[in-house]
Amino acid sequence: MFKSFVLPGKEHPVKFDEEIAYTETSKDTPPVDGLVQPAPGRLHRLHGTTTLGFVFQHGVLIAVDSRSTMGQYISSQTVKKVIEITPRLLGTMAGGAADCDYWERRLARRVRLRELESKEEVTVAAASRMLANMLYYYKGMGLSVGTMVAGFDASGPHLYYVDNDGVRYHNDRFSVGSGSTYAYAILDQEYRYDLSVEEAVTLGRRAIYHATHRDAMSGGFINVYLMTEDGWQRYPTKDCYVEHYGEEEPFLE
Amino acid sequence: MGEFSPYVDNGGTTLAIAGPDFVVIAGDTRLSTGYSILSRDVSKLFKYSDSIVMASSGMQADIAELRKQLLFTIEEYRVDNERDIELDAFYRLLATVLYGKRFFPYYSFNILAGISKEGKGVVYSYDAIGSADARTYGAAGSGQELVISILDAALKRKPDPLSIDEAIELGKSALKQATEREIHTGDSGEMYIIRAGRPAEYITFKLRKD
Repeated sequence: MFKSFVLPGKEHPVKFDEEIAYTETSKDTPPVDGLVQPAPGRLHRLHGTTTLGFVFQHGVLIAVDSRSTMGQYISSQTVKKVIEITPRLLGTMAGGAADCDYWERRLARRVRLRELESKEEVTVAAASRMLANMLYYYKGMGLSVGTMVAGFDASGPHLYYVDNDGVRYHNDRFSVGSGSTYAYAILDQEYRYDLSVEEAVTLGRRAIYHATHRDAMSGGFINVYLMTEDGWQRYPTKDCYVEHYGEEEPFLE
Repeated sequence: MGEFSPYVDNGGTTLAIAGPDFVVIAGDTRLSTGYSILSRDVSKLFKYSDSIVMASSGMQADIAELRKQLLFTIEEYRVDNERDIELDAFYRLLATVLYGKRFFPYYSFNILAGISKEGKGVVYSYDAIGSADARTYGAAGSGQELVISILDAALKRKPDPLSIDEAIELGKSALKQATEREIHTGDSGEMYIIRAGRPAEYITFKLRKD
């Protein structure tokens, strides 16, 4: 079922990650045995993030930031942290960018194949379970995935939280990532099931904006998706600069 | 027996800048380990087709192996699909090949430049394990932080569209400036200029050799 991954000899992948791939010596320190070791954290990227999702009367709302960091360095301010699995399924990205991207694309492929085979839509419960099972298979190998699977199926809107431990929770709202506590503060205060679409979009954006303001590892732009019976639709992307200052960032002359 | 230490950082800087119907991709040619310069003439650029060029920095041995794997896979793709690989498929292929070594990564930092099906210049920037995103410019390698700041200042929120001559000059100038302040970058520069519907043009330029 799984493509086999190359392993670093007898070394356990987690030990390898911690002791070799993330060795503390960087290119600025004297070489060890004539070799310069890779700088810490250069092999993996995107660790800080704020993502949130909630179920309300009109469907599921997803809001995310777009910053990607490698240690202190901001490697991108324009990451797409919402992965479009099918027209009625979305996944979010927190943790390792490559891990989330790869496994959620793999999920998309499996969901599509199963739908073609059974001629039936895969439920949100089934899709999130597939992802949780794939991640459970690799538990303890050092994958870093914190995702929400949002969707709409015959039984209505659903939101699941799935991570690299293999856990899978079902609830009406979640926030994932280093900025999640800040986002929860806004979200829990103002969340209601009977929110209008406009109120929901504003709440999602506000919660992410406040998280990007407090959490140095979150920032960039705010992307919002609304999942309804007719599938997901995207709302206009907002720049955190504009959200804060109320005007466009000028060109640096 | 010593610790298993598979990685060496051979340094070097790469960058790419996309425009409305073109893209330029450049890199230096220095290869170093620690404070020793091992070679002054090792290319970081690799042309896969008339409109797809990849720039790689990191560890030379891993990059060589990665290129070999990619050449093999795109040849398989060509035989299976009876056509050459397009940029959007190559972007995914590179991500998958890199992720295939998720637990023992290729120590390589890649930038992919090419022309999309719509005739637009595109730059994809990767991490070592295959996370990538499309952007209008990118930099990688030992001078990444220096180069990206120069490109940000020149291109972020630029009011008028970028011309190809501006892009070429900016690319050369950013590498020259990185050479001034970064010990692993220098010797000479090379660049592919890719215009929509035309084969990539290759140029070289001088960089400091000290």
